[in-house]
Amino acid sequence: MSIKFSNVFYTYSPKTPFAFEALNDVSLKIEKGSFTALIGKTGSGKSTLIQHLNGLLYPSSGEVEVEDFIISKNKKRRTKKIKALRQLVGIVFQFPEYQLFEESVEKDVAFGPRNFGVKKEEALKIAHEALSYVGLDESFYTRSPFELSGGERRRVAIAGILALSPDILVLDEPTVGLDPRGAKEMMTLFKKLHQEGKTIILVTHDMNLVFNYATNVILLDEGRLILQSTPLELFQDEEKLASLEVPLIYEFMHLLKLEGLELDYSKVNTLETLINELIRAKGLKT
Amino acid sequence: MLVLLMVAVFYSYQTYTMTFLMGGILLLFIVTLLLIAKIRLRQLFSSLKALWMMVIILLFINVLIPPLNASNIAFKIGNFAIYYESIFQSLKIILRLVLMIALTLILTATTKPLDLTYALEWYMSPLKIIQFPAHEIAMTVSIALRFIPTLLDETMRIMKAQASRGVDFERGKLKEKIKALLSLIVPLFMSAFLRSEELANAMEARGYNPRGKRTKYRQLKWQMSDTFSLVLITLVTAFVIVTSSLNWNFIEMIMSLVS
Repeated sequence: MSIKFSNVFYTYSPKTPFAFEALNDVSLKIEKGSFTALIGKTGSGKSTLIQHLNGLLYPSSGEVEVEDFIISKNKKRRTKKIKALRQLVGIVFQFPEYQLFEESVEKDVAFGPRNFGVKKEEALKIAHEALSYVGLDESFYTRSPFELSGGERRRVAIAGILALSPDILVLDEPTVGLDPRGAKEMMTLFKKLHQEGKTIILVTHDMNLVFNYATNVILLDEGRLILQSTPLELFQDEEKLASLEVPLIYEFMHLLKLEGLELDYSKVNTLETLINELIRAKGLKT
Repeated sequence: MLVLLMVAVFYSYQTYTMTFLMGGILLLFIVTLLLIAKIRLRQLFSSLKALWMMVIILLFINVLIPPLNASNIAFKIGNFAIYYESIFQSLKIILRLVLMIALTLILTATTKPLDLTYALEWYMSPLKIIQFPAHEIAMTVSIALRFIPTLLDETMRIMKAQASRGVDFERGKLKEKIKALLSLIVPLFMSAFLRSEELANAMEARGYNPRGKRTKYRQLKWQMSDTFSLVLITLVTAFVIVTSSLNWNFIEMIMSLVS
């Protein structure tokens, strides 16, 4: 097991009139190598939760364990090697394109590794690899990040995190504001990283992404853990779904079912599997 | 609607003119105002917390540097003399600081930023005769005030993002620190510029024209309470100025009255 939250509470500005409880008794486990989608309404505590993963926030009470690291309020118990933790857990924040600052793309991507003590030439090499990963070729290396388009800037920023080669990659709405094709390419990249063995945690509002890519789902509401399951279980739970948008495929299947077609939901998670299932249900041969 | 704004303007003025003896009386007065404004004293202390370091440094420097006309030695450390005057001087500075912060706290806790802008424009309105851009300046100030929390949020956000990339904002050598700061400031400026451009476009899209004749959604009216507070503040300020310029010694006066 890779990540474990035990009874985590988090309160913003405690003991003031603005005190706000963002996490309320959250206990959960995220397995190593899983692709977990973190969903919930705006203000449900998703962003607060992910900031615990690399020690940007410490719980007000309770504990978070990430591999051997302990993130706790207790100064004696919590890990001293915060830098090592930050290398293990890479967080791509919302709109990461606004964190670029260097004069060239390659320098910006190499900035992360440089902070972790990697030599300059080595860091540049890592940067080039990370850039090719996100689909930016050599022509981008020496350009200024500020002259790129929004989508390209986001790729650079994501490369900046990939360059740290984290085992756990946390993504806060990485596809928001991208054109559909760019978003698809992004998701394909994350899927590839997942297949290479990285643990992926994806914060999203897009249920289609959850349905297509995630192996696990965590649903939060007002700082409380509502449900932790597979996407399939979630989308069959009518009650929990009430507050969520339903993926397009699921809606389609639901309508087909109302028309009297017997479909096995558990076999469907992409367009291809839906076609297979339709063919099976109609008794057609392939 | 209260036009408390003017009160506030007088405040910062009087704190500068007060004398050491008057400090106590003013402190009492301001604490009363704090209570009227329903501000908890704890809130004042928490805003003072940030100043602790400054206070200590000020104390240190002031106590060590002997004033020009110092004569009364309080005690000696080695052959370094500490004078009563310098101790008093530093106490005075601290008292002033506390009072100033208390006053700004009252101002910000009781007055909406929009009201502040109105007040600013109102104060500068006589200058309009000499083509002084009163409205523009008031608008600029109110926009600046409005964006302080936004920029703070932005700073926190970028700091977190860079910390995730291994930046250590607290420790490190000077060169590393400069780099860390740069990684914060450059994106901050970028987003601030972007934001200002967006704001300007949004304002223009809604037909904003600084030269145009404007009406106000909320009309400010002069009320009895405003007259009262204005008179009270004027009296207190006048009292402070008169007593300090005439060099009255209260303790002596009271002593002579008692005996």
